[in-house]
Order: sequence, then structure tokens, then C-alpha cells
Amino acid sequence: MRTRSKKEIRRDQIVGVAVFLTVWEISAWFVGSKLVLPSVSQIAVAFWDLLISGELILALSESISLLIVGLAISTVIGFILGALVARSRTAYWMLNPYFSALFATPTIALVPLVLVWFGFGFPGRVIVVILAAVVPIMFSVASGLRDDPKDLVDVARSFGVKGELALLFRVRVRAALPVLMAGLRLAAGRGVVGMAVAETYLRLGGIGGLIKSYGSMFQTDYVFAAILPLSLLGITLVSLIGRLERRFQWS
Amino acid sequence: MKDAILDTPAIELRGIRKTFKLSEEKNAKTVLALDGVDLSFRKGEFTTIIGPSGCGKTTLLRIIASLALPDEGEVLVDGQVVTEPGIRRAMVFQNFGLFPWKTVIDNVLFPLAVRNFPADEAREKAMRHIKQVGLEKFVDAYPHQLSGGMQQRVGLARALSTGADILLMDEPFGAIDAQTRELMQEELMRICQEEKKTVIFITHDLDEAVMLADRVLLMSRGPGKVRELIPVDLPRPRFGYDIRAHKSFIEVRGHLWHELRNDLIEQNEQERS
Repeated sequence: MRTRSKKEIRRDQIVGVAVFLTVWEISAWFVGSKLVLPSVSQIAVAFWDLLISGELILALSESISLLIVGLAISTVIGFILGALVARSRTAYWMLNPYFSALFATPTIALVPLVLVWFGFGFPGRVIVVILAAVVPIMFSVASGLRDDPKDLVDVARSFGVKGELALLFRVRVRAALPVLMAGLRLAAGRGVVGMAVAETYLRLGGIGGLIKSYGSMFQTDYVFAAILPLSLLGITLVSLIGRLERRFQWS
Repeated sequence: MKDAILDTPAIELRGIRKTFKLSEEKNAKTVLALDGVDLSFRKGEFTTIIGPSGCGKTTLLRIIASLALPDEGEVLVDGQVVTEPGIRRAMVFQNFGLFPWKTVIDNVLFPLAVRNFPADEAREKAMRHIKQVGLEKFVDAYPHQLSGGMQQRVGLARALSTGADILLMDEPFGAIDAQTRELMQEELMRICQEEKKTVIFITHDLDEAVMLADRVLLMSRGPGKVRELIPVDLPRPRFGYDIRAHKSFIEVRGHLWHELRNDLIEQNEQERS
């Protein structure tokens, strides 16, 4: 297949969206029930209502701050543990099984424990986001730092870089950055899921809370109007990190 | 007194001994890589090191650069014992050793940035040496965009920009195609002559060893020892004509070839018995 120009890709995407929305609108007309499948126009009205009432902005800011705090703490914890596991065999064999287990366990299964230990406030929610996001970061740091760029470390030492910490940040971390960014991107995706779980299963709040509460009132048009910004949030975050990732690559 | 200063060798090695463990285990077997090497390198002297693979030549260079420490013995730069890499010694690496995420200028600036040179002065120095190796059009290129020969020019510019008077070169032209290699040998000889560098240059290429050197250091395998030091009595400059046809060149090269061959044969016999 011939590679497509940016303009052609844009055109394909616009056509795709138009077809999708038209099919949706027609299907909704056939279904004829706002509860089962609200039409695009009904969702647009609901979205507008959420927007001007300020409900959406409030929920979104709550969600974003939860996500940012959660991802920031995940990055710090993931980095420290990942570096430890990469540089020490003992740490690797001691810690790795737990992280594999945490990675395989659905975050939602841990919610009852978080509720008991940390409550349903902001700290509890942040913990849920961390549980969801920390493992990919830790894995990527561990694998990124395990491939030791010996030659480049020698280069740095020969030109006067002294001490393990300076070598870690000047050479090893920089060389591993593309891998670390891929881990962060994965973590952001999982973090959004963790965020939605925390907001619907601990105490209602943010975008997740909005979806849950409109869902229990059977206002399906408002549910869709709230899902939309949630997906957008996820996509924006992941593509932002993807863009950053490309900046750190070199070939 | 003045003579005494002049006579202080740029680098002196005293009783260098180095062993390596064969594995990480505590009671792992060790191999002897260097067995009591005593050498001195005069200022402005160009020494090439040649020897069969596994003779410890790279280990020797790493010890001179203080990238590795000897088990016994000491390295002196200008009569001072050194145990850490220093600004007077700059290394040029076999696989160029460029940071792939840095542009040409940033790679050349690296040693100066590490040592906190003022930014303007560092940039001026870096640009001068990038020009010296003919890469002024590529200052903002990344290493992967350059050919092997160009990458090693960056490696050379980086070493020169430190202002080091001692260049430690580990098979620097080994990964470069034959034609480019000839040009770079010429450039290197020109630069070293102009700037009176003391050079220690590892190679596995007989022609290169003889062509560049004031003296060739022949090492022998297992355990690493200096087998012979051969002075090369050829007039400089040594480019612009076919140096390979020169009588001294043929003599020295022939002798080296013979010795290297004997070393290999002895080694094979030892391994068989």
C-alpha cells in the first residue's frame, strides 16, 4: 500500500466520522428510544447542557487533577523501584513476582481494600490510580536500565563524569528514555482506567461519577455526553506522551 | 633542570599487572591480561600498539586512560600518579562512542560541559575543532545521519576540543572503509604534528601501525607482555607519496609480520600441547 499524505489521512478521518455519525443518527431513529440509543443530536444537546451548567468543567478538573497526581506519584515510585530492580539482582528476584501479580490483577478487585485502608477521599482515589499505573512504569524503567550502555558510560567517564548518580542521569536514563516514555504512555492509558474505577467505585466524583450518576437515572444521552470527554482525555494524554516520545528518539 | 622537565615522559607505566575474573562467582578462575608492563611514552611521540587479539592492548589503553585500575603498578602522567580520568588525556573510541541523542556540536561540547567551561569559550573551541575535521556543515546533524568516517571525525574533534595533549586511540579507524581511512590517517598525522600530541594508537592493521608511528609496540598474547619495541625511522611528513614503497617501511613491516606470525604459531602449539 502507498503511504498516505497527511492531507489524505485527515480526509479519510473526516469521512469516517461523518459516516459513523450518520449511521448512528439513522439507527437511533429506527430504535426510537432515548433510553436505549439516544441520537447524536440528543447527545449534543445533553453535552451542551453539561457544559453551560459548569458540571462538566468541575468534573473534568477533578478528574484531571486526580490523574496528574496519580501519574506523577506512579512515575516517582516506578522509577525508584525500576532502577533498584535493574541494578540489583537480589531486588529483582525479591520484588518482581509482586509486580507481575499486581500487573495481572484487575485494579477494580483491589478497590475494597483501598476503601478500608485509605478511605474514599482523594488519597484513596490516588492510590487506585497508582495501583493501575505504577507497574508499566516500573517495568519500563527496569528493562530500559538493564541494557547497560557500557560503551557510552566509558565515554562519559573518560571525559570526566564522576559518580554513579551522575552516570545514571547523564547516560543511562537518557539512553533508556525512549523505553521509559513508552512505559509512561502505557501507564497513562491504564491510569485513565484506574481514575474511572476510583471515581465510580469509591465515591462518586469527576467524570466517572458523572457517568455513574446519570446512568443510574437512566439518562443515557447524558451518559454518552460524559463518556465523550473521558475518551478525549485518554486520547489527548496518550498522544501528548507519544509526541514527547518521538522527540526523545534519535533514529 | 630544564632538561629534567623535558625528559619527564608524558606517560609512564610501572609494573602494570591486571587480571580478570572469568565469571561473577566468588571463586571464579582468573586470567592474566597484563603481566608486569613497564613502559614510558615521550612527549610528542606517536606510538602504535599491535598484537594478536586477546593480547591485552585494549586493557592497557583503558588503564592508561584510568577507565580501569591495575591490580598492581601505577600510571604516571607527567610524573604524577593518576587514578582517575583527567583532562590531559582524551580518548577516541573504536565504535566512535558518540551519544546518539546529541547533535555533532553537543557531542563535541560534552567534555567541556562536564568540566563547566564557560559556554562561549566552549562553543568557540568546539567549532574550531569541528572545522578542523571539516564538519562545519554538519554541526546540527545527529550521529546516525553521518557516515562512519564522519562519525569518527566527530570523535576526533571531541578529543581535540578538550585540549588534551595525550590522545588515546583504540582502533579508531578499524570500522571505517579503506579509502576514508587513508584520508583520516593523513589528517591525524597532520594534526598531531602541528599540535605536538602524544599519541597511543591501537591497531590491528600492519600498514597503519608502521605508517603512523614513531615506534611500534608489539604485544604478545597470554599473558599480555611487551614483546618488542620497534622504532620506525621514516621521514615526516609521510603523506603525498607512496610511503609503502619506502625501504624502512618494507623492513619494519616485514619484521612485524614475521613476529606476529611466530607469536600466533607459538600460541597454537601451546594450546595443542
